[in-house]
Amino acid sequence: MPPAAVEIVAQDLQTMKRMLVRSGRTEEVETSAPARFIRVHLPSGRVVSIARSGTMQRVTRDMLTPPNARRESAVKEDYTPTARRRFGIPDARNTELTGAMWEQRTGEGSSSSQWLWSLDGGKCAAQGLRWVFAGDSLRPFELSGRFGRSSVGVSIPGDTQSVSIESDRTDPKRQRIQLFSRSKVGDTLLNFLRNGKLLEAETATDLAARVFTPPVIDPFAAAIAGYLLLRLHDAQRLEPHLNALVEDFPDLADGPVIHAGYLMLRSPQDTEGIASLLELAIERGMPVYTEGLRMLVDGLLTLGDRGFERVRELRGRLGHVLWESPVRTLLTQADSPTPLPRVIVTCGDPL
Amino acid sequence: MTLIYEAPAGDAKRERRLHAIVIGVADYPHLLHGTGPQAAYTFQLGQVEHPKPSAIAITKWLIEEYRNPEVELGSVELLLSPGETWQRADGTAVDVARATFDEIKSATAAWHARCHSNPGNTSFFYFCGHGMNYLTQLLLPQDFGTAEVAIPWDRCIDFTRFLTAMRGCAARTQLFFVDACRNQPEPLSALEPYGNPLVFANSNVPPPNRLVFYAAAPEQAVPLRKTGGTTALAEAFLKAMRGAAAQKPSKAWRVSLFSLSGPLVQLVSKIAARDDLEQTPDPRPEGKDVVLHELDTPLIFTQIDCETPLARREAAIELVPDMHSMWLKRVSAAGNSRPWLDDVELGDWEVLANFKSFAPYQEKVEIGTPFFEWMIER
Repeated sequence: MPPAAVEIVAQDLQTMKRMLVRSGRTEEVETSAPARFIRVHLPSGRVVSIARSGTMQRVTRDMLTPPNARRESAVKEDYTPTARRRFGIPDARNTELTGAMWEQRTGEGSSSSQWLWSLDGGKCAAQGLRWVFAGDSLRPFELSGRFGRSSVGVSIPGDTQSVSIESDRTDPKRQRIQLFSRSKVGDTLLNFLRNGKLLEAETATDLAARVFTPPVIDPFAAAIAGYLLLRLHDAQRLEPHLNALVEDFPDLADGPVIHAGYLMLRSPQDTEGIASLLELAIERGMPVYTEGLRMLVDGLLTLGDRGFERVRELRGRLGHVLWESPVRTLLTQADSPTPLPRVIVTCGDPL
Repeated sequence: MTLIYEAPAGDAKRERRLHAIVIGVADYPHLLHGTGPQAAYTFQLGQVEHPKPSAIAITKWLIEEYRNPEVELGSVELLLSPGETWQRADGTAVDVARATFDEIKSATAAWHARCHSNPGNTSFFYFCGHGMNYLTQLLLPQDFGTAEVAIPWDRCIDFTRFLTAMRGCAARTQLFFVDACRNQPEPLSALEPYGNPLVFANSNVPPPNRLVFYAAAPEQAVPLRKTGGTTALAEAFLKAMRGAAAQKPSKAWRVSLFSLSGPLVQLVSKIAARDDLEQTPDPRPEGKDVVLHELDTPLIFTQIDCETPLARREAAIELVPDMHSMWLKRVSAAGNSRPWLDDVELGDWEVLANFKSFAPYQEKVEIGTPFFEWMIER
């Protein structure tokens, strides 16, 4: 079950408390009066109200699942491991990190799909694909897909736990890519930010600040926390960690973008500082998260004519950006005006 | 005339006020099927229907329903194409100015000056009409494409630069609603378009608390509704402000900057889906949460449906209020279209349904924010 924002509602429907609750955890809340119900704000956008029962409220996945979804029989995918690769990226402290990823595939439908997918140069084909990761990488991975003469590039954060790809049975051009990261709160926050749910995202502010406590273990979760703090204009919490985010993670373009975002908040007249950080982000291969890509483009556009020229060049390189995707997803096609293949990317539990 | 509402003289400058500019452009004489000489480049854009009723609906809400004792309504600038006569509450009538570039520029300057006069002010900007995007978001006034100017971009608004400039406006709370397309029609990129930012920046102020809400995701068009009336965003905005976005952090129901954007996203998608359209809006809230509007009892966008086609056809549905409330029963007769859509007072209700072929249905429900959806299991 994904972390969710929980609202405790009084008898007169006043909101007594709002907080983020992580799956498997218990939160104690003192209220001045008995609650009427609790309202669970899921990262998917759904809101579920649950009547209060006693002083201990247990929320289960079943309570949050829509009734029609419960009645559908689950399609069980049987994944067969087909390959295993190791990866090791030295970090800023020159410590070799090792991890591994497993490629898995279902046995069904593989011959009918016209898609070809590969992760960081590995080769596989068809639908029913999944990669499972053990260990974290300090650099993102690149998931590449090809459909005819169209191609898709999806940035996969280094703290990803699994990536799965499914085809739409009725539309061969349509693919759904589901990412789960190790940071469940990060997945939840990405979705809250994407859906404009700042009221819910705000419940994670303290948690977001803690992600930066040295040593930063998960720079990708730190990047998401950085984007949240920027949205909340919480520059004070962000400031002590900006240099580390840029310097300690040279493979992460989001660090310089967040630092530039901080300057845009605090010192918008420092156009040289903003420009050089945004250029650094571009050199590092563009942000992993769409929120960062948006901030990069918006930041360049504040720099006058030179910024506009830079965005014009980038537009040519980027191709078509899937702005609804939480991670950077770029589509290019060789044949225009053939409709683009449809790729839907989601992060975290779809509940 | 563009200023159709102004608070009593003298007050607006001293107190915190909401100053609004609302623009609805449904008449483009120089685009396809227009009444004037056709522009050299129309970008396949023609006449549209929804912007004018949308702008009118938003304006009426501002004048008749907006309520914030801390930040009362200060002024409303309104521009419409085609024009309209506006009836004020005091009985006077105003000929509303057309939304040409010059009128928009002049009205925006006056609006900006009012917003800038007090950091406690709230600025409110709504545009509905044609839009396109190449590097920046362009909004098209009525006279875009006129042959009277050598370059069409001189009659074009650069909303992206306008937003950047508004960061320098002293008003600490800023709301922007862009009800326009964001795609890039051919041959826009080849023409290297630009627009006018309408205002200029003064950077020596802290960043504002703001919501910029686009009806469409970047690089996408707003799908055209098949029915007349307002756009999905305008309808969603009204539903949000009348209840869907309401929260009760204390004794009063309030809509705040943060509580507005999430429900607005969901409502736009749901309203578009009613017309079998897919619309993904783009919300950009930032800053600190501030109260925007207060209301008495939220009205909740309610959808009640049945599981089977036969039940849908036969269902005579009633929504009966809790015995302690003063609300009136709601009824939807058999044969009415399904799902049944209505705006219902928040609270405890009972759903009753009778059929020819199924057993009667009865269930107590709690109708709450942001919207209520119920499936009768028949």
